[in-house]
Amino acid sequence: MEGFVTLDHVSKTYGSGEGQVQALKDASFTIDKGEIAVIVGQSGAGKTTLLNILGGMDTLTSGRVFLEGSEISAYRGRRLAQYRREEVGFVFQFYNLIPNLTALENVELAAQIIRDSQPAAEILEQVGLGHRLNNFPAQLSGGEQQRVAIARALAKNPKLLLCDEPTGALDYATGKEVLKLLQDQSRRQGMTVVIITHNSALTAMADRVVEVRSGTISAVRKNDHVTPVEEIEW
Amino acid sequence: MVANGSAWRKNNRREWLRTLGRFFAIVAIVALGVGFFTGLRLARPAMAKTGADYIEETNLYDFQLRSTLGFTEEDAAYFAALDGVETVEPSVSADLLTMFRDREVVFATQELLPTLNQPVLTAGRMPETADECLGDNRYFTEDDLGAVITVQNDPDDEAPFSQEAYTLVGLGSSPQYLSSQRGTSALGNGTVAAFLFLTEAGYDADYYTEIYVQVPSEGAAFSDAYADSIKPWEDVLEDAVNARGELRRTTVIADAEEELADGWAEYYDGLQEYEDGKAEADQELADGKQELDDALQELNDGEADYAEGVETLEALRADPLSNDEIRDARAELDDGWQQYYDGKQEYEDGLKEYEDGKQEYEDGLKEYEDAVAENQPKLDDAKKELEQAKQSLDSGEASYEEGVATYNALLQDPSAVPELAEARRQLDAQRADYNEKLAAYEQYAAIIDGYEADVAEAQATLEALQASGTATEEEIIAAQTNLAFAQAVLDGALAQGGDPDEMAAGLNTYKETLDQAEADFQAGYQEAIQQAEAELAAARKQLDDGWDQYYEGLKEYENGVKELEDGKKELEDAKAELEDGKIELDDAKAELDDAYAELVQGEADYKSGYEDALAEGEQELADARQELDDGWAEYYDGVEEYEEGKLEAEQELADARQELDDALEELEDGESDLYDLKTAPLSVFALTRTANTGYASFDNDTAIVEGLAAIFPVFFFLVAALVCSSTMTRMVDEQRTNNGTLKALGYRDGSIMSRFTAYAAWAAVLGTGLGLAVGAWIFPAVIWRAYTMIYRFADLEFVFDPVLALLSLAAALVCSVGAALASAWNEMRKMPASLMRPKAPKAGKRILLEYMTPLWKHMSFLQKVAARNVFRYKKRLIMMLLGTGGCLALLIAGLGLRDSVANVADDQYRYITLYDYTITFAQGQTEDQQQAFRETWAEDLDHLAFAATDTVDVLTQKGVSTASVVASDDPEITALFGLTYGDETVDWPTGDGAVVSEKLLRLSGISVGDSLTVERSDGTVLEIPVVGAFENYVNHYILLTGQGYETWMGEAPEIDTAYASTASEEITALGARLTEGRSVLSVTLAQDFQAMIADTMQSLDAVISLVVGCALALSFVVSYNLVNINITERVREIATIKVLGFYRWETYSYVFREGLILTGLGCVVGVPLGIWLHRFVMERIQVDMVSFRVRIDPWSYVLALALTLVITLVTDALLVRKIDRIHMAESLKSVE
Repeated sequence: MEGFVTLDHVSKTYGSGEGQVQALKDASFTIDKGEIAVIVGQSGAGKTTLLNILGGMDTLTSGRVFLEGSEISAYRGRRLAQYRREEVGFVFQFYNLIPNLTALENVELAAQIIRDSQPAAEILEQVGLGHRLNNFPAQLSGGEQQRVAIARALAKNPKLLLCDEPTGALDYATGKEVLKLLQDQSRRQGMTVVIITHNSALTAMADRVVEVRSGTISAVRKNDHVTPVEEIEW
Repeated sequence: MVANGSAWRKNNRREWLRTLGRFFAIVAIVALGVGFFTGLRLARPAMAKTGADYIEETNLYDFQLRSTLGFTEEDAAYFAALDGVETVEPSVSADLLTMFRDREVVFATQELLPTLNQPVLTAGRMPETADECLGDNRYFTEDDLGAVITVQNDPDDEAPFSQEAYTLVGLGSSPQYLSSQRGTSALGNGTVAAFLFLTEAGYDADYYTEIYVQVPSEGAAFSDAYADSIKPWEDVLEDAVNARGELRRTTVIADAEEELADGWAEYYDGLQEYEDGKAEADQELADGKQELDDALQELNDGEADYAEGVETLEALRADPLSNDEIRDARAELDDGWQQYYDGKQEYEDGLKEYEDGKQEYEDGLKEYEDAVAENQPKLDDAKKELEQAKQSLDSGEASYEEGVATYNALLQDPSAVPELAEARRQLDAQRADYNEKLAAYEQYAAIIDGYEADVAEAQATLEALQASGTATEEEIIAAQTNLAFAQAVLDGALAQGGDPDEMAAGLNTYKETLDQAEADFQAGYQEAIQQAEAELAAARKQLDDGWDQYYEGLKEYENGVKELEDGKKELEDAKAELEDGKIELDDAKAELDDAYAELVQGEADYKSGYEDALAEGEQELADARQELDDGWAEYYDGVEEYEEGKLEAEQELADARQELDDALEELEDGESDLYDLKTAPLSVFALTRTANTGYASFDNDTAIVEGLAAIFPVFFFLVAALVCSSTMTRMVDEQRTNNGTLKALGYRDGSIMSRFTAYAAWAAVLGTGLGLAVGAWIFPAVIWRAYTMIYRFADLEFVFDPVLALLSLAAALVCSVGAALASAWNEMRKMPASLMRPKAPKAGKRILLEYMTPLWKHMSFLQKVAARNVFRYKKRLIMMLLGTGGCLALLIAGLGLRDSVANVADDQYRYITLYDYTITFAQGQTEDQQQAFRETWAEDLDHLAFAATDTVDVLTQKGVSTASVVASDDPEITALFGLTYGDETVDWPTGDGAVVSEKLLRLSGISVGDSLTVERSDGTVLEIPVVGAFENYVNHYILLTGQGYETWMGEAPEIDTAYASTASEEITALGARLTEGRSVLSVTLAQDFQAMIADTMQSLDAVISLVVGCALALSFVVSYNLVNINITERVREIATIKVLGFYRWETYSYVFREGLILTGLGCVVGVPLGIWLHRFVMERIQVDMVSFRVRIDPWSYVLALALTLVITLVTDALLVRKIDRIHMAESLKSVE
């Protein structure tokens, strides 16, 4: 079990007593460095719990989670915030851009709080938004907003890029573009990308597929025939 | 579709629960606004109602008629008969001086009337008999019930009390004493401590002091309606009381004139009688005096003699030698003493010498004994040694003798020495031997010789034969044989005996040896002799030396012994000498002791002689003294008798004189009073309730509350309304997507809007209800509590104003429901689709600050975010600014009010009203009268200035103000009125116009250089040019010179007032004394006003504290609400930045920075708003007499700003939890 990302018998239970809900049961898998992993499952299968745990937004009930050998499940408080700050990048389904900030400033917002960030403008250039630096989110299309969000995540040089239904709020074509961007970034920078989706079509682009079903990992497999995003259809 | 499904309701309920904090914030803001508004608005009516009900209940008069001459039954009847008058009750009042609680106090008593001015009993019972009374419940306690109050007024004052003492049977309050002020008195310390109600029988008065009148009136007490309804009666009653006064004056004058005439006649009779008596007494006294003087002369002579005797005795006492006999005795004694002391000295010297000798002897003895101890053993040793030496010498002598004998023997015979004897014997033996051998030898030698001779004959024959040559051989042979033979024989002999030569030589040697031995022996012998001689000589020498030594030692020993014996002898001699000296000394001592005893006796004799002499002298003097004393006693008795007689006579005369003078003074006073009575304007008054201090100040003080209530709550309410409405607007905005969804689902606009309207309506109704319930009760209660310091006559009666309540509710509803509706209506017109999308910020809109590139660039990123958040939404910005700024303005205004009122009394009476007394005279004072008064009080009063005064009405922009006109040419007036404007001193006016208090100018809207229009009480309207203004807070003043008065007031000034100050601490007591001054009508103490105003200010201060407290509460709620909304609206954003890895404090600062900036900007708005509000409120607070300084202390700004900041920080601290509770998972939720 020596992956870049390692989940070791992870369980998560919400609530207590009668109202107890086990969101995740004994989940174990690994993801190697530079891989694109797709965690796929139905709504309520425990994807989001997995995301929360990987993203340092929630704690475990039992088990352990490692990133590059460090046990992130042991982090608390400030250390956990530092983990989110420096080691993980998030891409949200609804972009979560700060409406009062321009695209550039949204990226800067993330870049400014860490030391070795990438220049915000450059990153935006990379994601193809060089011409929209000074637009406010409301002035951008959904795809553009998601690109800004990806740029915001990338600006931090994260060890791990977590994407929560990155295409969920986008139309087919735009969604593809975004996925392409993610795939390109992963290939080019060797970045480990975890995409969480209910859309099993996306598994085609993954190096590793983790299937989640009612709180358990039903399957983990490596995909030997990675399909370029352009060829994926759903 | 009817919007009442369960899901609908559930949605609404959830929304309420979610925003419970905001809901309660709105409720609280509405409650605060409504409560403060209605509470403060209702405070004055509630207080006025309390006062009015009390006055109603106690049946307070409408008019109090007073006259310096009092009223009669007829007067009362006259007023009762006036058309329309309802009730007339004449009354007696008088001040009572007594000791209570061990202090001299003054009680103001008044008659318990049948129906008017009824006290309210609070303890005990009402007085029923003449000697019972009801007391002031603010002074007396229930423990005082039963206390006896003794009348201790000056009997000359003819106080109208029928009893000598009154028992306190009940306590109560009186409508005539609403406030804590009890007024002043001409008695005691000048201050009335409490009021008392006596029964009618409790008084024994010649006339009534006042008449109380009730006329038909409308409206409650303190209302304008009431004031208006009694207004017409003022003139009617004033005229009537004037007429009755004149009538009474005539009667009183007639009585007085008659009385005076009688008095004068009596006075002159008395004067004559006095003169006669005086002459008689003088003669009698002169005779007595002469007699006494003679006796005195005689006594003085005796005294002189006595003094001489005393002197002699004193001389003797001081110096006994002044007597000859005593002096001789003294001299003799002194010689004796001298001798004695010489002898004693000698004796003591001898004794000293003896002691020294004794010491020396003892030292010697000691030394001797030491020497004996040291030397005796040595001597004994030496003696033993000597004896031994002698013995050995004697034995030496014996052996020497023996030696000599031996020697002598030796001399005779060596053999006396055994060795020598042996040697002799040996030698002799040897000699014998030798001799024997010699003999042998000689025999042998003879033989040999014979043989040799034969041999020699044989040889000679042979030789001869041979030599003859002729001898035949035979013959030769024969001669040879013969020779051979002879030879043989010889040889044989020789062979046997040896060589004789040898033998001879041997013998010779032997002989030599013997000789030698003999010589040796002889030598040894000689040697032995010599040796013995030497030995003997040496022994002799040794012995002689020994003997010498012995004798020397012996001598030495004997010397030692001798020495000791000499020492002993010497000591014994010294001892004998000492003993002789001792005896001699003892004799001398005895002699001295005898001499001393003799001298002591002599002294005693001398002393007793002296004492006898003294005693004798003293006795003589004592006798003389006794004689003199008796004489003196007799004389003094005489003198005393004379003095007594004289004193008696003088006292009698003085009494008579005093009586006459008193009578004269009384008569003169009578004349003067009569003159005054005839000439002075009649002091009669028809006073309304406003002349009553308690009534007037209650009216004023409650008016202050009304002034506060006029603007403060409105502003307060406005802030609350604004915050409330903007909160609702934002709530609607926040829900727009939800609304869009609902609308898309087919809910009607009305239904959707009703969600907000219901929310807002509930908040408004709950808030209004709460505000009305609590505020309408608590604010008047708290204010009343503050005022009970002054007014404690009754519990507050709460009033409820339904109109006000409905108005509040309506306003609350408009602000909440109206705002919600307006905002929602705006939204509803849009299509659901657009509603379901987040409201887009206006495209590319940048805030102004961004265009200030250098500044913008220097701002940190988070500062930029905050700045954008702050400035992008103008509506929210304005709402925040007005919310926080409004609260700050309220705080500043509240604190500023305190600053403005706090020190008014102090400033006025410390810096402006420098006088302690306003003395009012019954009529104008002439120069002479002024001078007389000035001289009378010169010691007590520091400054005194006379002035003409009048009261005028000044038409101001807000109504009519009453101003005092003070006209004075007295230079001292500037020491009594402190006139300043700004930092400049203002001079007393010169002839060209008036100096007017600044507030009056402001009220009337004119400035220096204009003319002030005033109306005199007789209706004359006058114009006075204003040449200066001065700062003044209490009363309005128009200051003039005497000439100015004449010029602009249209008549000559009547100097009827004096202002005075004193350095004395006893201000009230001096005030009381001043009241007794000639023709003084009344004395008013500035400190009474000061105390009254200070009381008022203090209660106002309490009210202001309430305002400040409420402003703080509002500030808190507003701040909480605003920050709370900020957080609620941005949960998603906050969750996102948390996910992005913002640390706790970064998150807080991201959220709160905006609030802090807004608070700062709010302060920028709030300070000028506060200054404006303060000014506005100050204008509204109207108090008769008092004008406030519009002033805000710098510290008040600091405090207000600090409090605002603290409140912001506190709310932030409270809301930190809310931020912490935002879960990051919120960021994953879909956009609402």
